[in-house]
Amino acid sequence: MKYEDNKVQKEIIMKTPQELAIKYHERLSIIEAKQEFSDIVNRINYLFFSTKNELIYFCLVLYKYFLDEEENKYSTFEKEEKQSILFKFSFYRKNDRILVDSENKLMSIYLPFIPIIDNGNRYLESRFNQKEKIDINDIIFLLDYFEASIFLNYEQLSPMEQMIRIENIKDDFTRSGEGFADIDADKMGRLISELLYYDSSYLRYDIDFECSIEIDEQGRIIEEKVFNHPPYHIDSDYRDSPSYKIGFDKKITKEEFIKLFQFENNAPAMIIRSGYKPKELVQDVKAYKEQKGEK
Amino acid sequence: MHKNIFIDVPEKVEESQVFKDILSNLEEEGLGDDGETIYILQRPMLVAQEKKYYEYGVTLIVQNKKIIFIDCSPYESDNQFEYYCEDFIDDINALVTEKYPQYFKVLGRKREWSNFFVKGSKESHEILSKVESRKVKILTSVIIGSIQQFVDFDESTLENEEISVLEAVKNKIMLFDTNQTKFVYKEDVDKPIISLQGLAGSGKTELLLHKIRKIFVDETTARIGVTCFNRVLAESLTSRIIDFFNIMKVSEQITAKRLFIAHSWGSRNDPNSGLYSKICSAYGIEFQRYSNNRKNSEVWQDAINYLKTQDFEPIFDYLFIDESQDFEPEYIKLCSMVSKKVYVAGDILQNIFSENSMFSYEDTDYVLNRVYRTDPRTILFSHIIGFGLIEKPVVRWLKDNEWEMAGYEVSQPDKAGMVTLKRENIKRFEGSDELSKVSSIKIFNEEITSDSIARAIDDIQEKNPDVKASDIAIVFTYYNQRHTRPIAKELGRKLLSDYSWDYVLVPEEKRIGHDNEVTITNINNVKGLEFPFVIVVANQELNTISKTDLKEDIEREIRKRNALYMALTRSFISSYLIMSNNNVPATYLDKLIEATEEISEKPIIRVKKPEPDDIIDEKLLYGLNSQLIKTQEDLILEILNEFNVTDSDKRDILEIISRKKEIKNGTMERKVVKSIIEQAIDFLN
Repeated sequence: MKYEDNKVQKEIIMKTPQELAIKYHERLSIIEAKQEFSDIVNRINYLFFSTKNELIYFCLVLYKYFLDEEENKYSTFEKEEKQSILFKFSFYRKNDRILVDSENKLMSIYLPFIPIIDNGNRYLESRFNQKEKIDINDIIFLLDYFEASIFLNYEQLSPMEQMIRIENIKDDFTRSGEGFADIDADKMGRLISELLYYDSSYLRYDIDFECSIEIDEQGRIIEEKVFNHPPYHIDSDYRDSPSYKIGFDKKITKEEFIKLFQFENNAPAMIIRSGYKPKELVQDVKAYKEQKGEK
Repeated sequence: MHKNIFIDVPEKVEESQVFKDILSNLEEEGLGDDGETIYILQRPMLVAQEKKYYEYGVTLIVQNKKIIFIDCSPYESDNQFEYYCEDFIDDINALVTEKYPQYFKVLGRKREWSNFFVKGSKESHEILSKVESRKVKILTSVIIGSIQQFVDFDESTLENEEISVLEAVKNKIMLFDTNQTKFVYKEDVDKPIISLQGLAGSGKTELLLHKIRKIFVDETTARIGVTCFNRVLAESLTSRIIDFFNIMKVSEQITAKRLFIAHSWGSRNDPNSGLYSKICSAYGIEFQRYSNNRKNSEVWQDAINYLKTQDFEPIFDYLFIDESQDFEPEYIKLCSMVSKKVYVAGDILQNIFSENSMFSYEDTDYVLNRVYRTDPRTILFSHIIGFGLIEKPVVRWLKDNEWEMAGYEVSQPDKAGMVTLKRENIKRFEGSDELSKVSSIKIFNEEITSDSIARAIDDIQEKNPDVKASDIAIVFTYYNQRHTRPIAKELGRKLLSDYSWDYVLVPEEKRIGHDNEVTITNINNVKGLEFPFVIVVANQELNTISKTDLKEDIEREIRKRNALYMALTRSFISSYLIMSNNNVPATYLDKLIEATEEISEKPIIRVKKPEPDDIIDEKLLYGLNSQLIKTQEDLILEILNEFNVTDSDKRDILEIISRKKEIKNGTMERKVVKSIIEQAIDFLN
């Protein structure tokens, strides 16, 4: 199954920092929480993730689009240019990856649950237990859990405490929303474990000239900086400290990025030529700087 | 005295001849009869008491006229009166420029508005233009302390002679009326529990915000608690308090120690998550979780019983309970034990269903029966449904004083036993009086589909070309993930494709709609909110009531009517009700449509005054509230529990039975549901 190029025009987190602060301020004052959360919300909405919870939350948002068959949700908007596309996403079953395509950025992560379209019916399957079907109600519940987790770090709690959080969310759902009465807290617990268990297999291709520019006293581009931070590069991790960059000698296309993942049988792997410092890169950075200067 | 006059002057002024003349003149001219309050006061409400004013100086404010300074002194007063006028304007200027700079944005410098004040005695002055009147209204709001936030205020409309209805709604300036001003600034009741009762849309919550701010600022050590029923309400109230304090330039940070805001329950592991959990943690009471199997009132009673055995100090000085009709009397009792003073604010008509004596007519301290949000015809219609006024038996027939408390004028029955129920037509916002040409309430007798809802939207768009997505809320009376969500989603897709409007599905997203979003929501999430237009989708089966029905069935039917009342009164301009013969008896639906026709021009209806035998036994109404609607899902689960079904089987059974027509139509008949479940269980085995 290939499920490609679904356009999304809505931000990932739609609640305002104030709404989130009211809900999750716990140890902070609401005003402090509002400021702190505002940075997190902005980062996530720009598709810069820094914790596993955030990545999982993002996957769940995509699953929700999938289950609701809303891949073409904004087709009419596009015509009227009322709202621009924020990103596109695709599911690749072949090697269980999600591909996300946004301006100047391509990202790929592991597809935790298996999306299935069977005779027009859509659902998700657990990898731990293929008999465990996951529907939209489960996803709505999990979104609630991981939203809270982003701001309150549920992953740091003991399994017992995590289960209490699940029960609390279940209470809230049964009290305020009708039709959630059959939420199975055990199942939710299993699915949360599963989501946290798998490695996210994160890889991000960025086009970023800004960080490649450093200038010497004469106003010339410092070449070392260009090779330290190649403008076309891959980040190997969503966290800062373990991440490192692998540079390309030129801008690559989305197709070339996808090829990295060797979808096709016998597809060639990318080979890195060691000790190679392409001059073109420095030229590109210079050109970018001049163009920026003209503006 | 005239009910629409707010007076706050020293006794010696009240005794003066000049003052008496002012009053009789106002009476003669019939001013204030349009429902707009007249204010006669000596000092602006928000000016510190230390500042003294000339003792005979009085300011008279009548809307659409200039503000008049009057000298009530029986003697020649040197320059005292001149100083009074100057002081008054200077103090207003300080409020406008320093304290509430949002006013400076709309009013500008003193010289641009000081000419709206004149010195005079009793002579009436010219009627102002619409533009001028708006400015006088804004000045009035500063004087009487009804501070506006002007958040989405469009200043450009201020200068336009003609504005659209929607512009008028969005830029309206709310002035406290007599009762409201008294509650906030001149509280004249000294009791441990103060009850403020208002109809939906009478500005209760806004008033609570002003009161909370006043206590927070004036009593710097007071510990204040605020609670409302559920998380959604508590969160939206918190948000409103934060914004309000921000606008009102409250400099002290809101901390849980000084101002604790939470919903009524909470969770065991976080004492700050709810008022009950806070109380449990403060006094070492064992926390009990919400459960379908135990009545809430029993949980509260356990806490009360525990406290009675203890020697304890209150943890709050003031506790505010909003939407008090949602609470059991035991909860309010518990609150009154843990706080020195309790303010309960609720909906009069829903409280009439309460057996708690503090909600009785006699014990209500402040009544707000003037509805500034909703069209009086919509309110009347909502009461027709909520009280079952055109049904037999009638759900509720009020006593004379209760009708009055609810803002009604009731005629004596004629020979045929018919009475006329009439609401006052008050001016709610600029141009609201002209709306009487258009119906404020419309029923669409159609099958409930995304198409029928779209037709209501078309109707709104046709009459209001400047309508925006965020002006509309669609409220399902029953929201179920399996049956309602697909319709809501289909509607959402239609909104996107046909209207280029996005939407928010509140029951699952749990947030307020953004600018380009239509709000799609349910009863539990719409409380406390208001929109220019509301489309209520009655997708829950509504049955006629018979006095021989089981108590449980009667209660359920009444709750459904209550929920409709609450949802319909969320609108500023008009409400739509989509109902279908599929789940509402045709004769009843026809009667409702007839009623909308009868009230289409004026908020007046003739109904038969029921004989005592034709009214539902009051005892049945006790303890009823709109929140605890037993849903079909609850009923299904109850039956499944009787069968001892495992959690994983539950899902399959729910899946199977959700395809049944009866279930889709929202049947609540136990027999029917039980037999459908039995079939499903057989099928699975």
